Amino acid sequence: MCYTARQGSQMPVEHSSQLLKGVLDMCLLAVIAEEPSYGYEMVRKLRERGLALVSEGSIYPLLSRLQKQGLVEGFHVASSEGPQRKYYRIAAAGHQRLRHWADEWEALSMGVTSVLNGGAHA
Amino acid sequence: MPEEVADVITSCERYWREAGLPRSTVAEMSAELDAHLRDAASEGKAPESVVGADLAGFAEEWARSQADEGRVLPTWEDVWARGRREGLGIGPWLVIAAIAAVIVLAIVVAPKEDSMDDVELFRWIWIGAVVFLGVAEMVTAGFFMLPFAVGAAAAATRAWFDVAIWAQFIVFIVVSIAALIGLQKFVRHEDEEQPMVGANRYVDKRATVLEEIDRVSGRGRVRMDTEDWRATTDGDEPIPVGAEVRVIEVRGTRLVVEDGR
Repeated sequence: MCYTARQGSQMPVEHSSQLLKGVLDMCLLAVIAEEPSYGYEMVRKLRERGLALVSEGSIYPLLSRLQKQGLVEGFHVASSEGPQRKYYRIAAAGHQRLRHWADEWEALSMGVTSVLNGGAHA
Repeated sequence: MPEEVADVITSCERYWREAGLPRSTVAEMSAELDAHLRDAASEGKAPESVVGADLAGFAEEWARSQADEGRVLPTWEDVWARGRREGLGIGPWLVIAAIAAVIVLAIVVAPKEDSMDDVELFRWIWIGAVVFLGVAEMVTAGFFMLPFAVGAAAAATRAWFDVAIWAQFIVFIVVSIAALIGLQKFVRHEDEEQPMVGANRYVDKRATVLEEIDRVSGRGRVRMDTEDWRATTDGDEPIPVGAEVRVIEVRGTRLVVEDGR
């Protein structure tokens, strides 16, 4: 599968990646909530759904924080191709936080859409 | 690809260790990054697609997220400068100033003619200094003593030729200063060669076309050394399989090439 950067046709790459930065931790948490996953796979899943990361490694500081906050747990899985992989699975607190963040996102995106539509309610 | 991946890993590891992260944490981060880089490489993506254009920033940010809240970490710059700045700086220059003061004093105060005994004595003094400074150099592992050891050695040779003591000191000072300056130049050069995932290193390299390069359709792969890269060209003519090409630029994760035949 090719790696291409998808960009909104009107937006320069920088601007859209700035937007993504704001919600990336929520998106990672959501991907992990679906099923336990490791870094590279998370990036791939995001990309498949239209969210391309300019710098894939930017997920690691976020994963580190999610883990520190107890929202996800890290565990290692032996790999046939070499060293073990670090996987992340969601914790109970993570489920809760994800719901909260998702609600916030709903409210925010509705507000933004409303502003863009000149105040007409969606 | 394996070479560059290894460079990125070792640079990051060194920074994270020097930044004070626990060894087990560094090992874990390093393994995670390594796995990701390998996965990326297997899909033809360069390390830049993972660590971004700013390796230092990437390493620093990940380290900050791992460190305890509020702890201030050294920067990537700090860590690389640290290794070479040890022992250099104002210290050696103070030593030289002190020695120069001693010389001036000796010339003014000392008797006009040195006896042969004195000169011979100084042979051993200089040799002793070389040995002492040499050992001190190896023990301290900085570059502090080295210039003075060189200076002392030069002075020793003058002493063996029975040159006047004040002249020996002059030689010691001059050669030490020259060695110090030479050392600073050598050090500064190393300082600039920070391990970076720089795209410029590929410019002018040769590659062979694996999949026809066509700017319009966006297809194209080349093999450069042992690495496979996506490739494109700025020209209108497609470049056929097997052709030798020259890299003129790295754009994102693609090499921009031109026909080298």
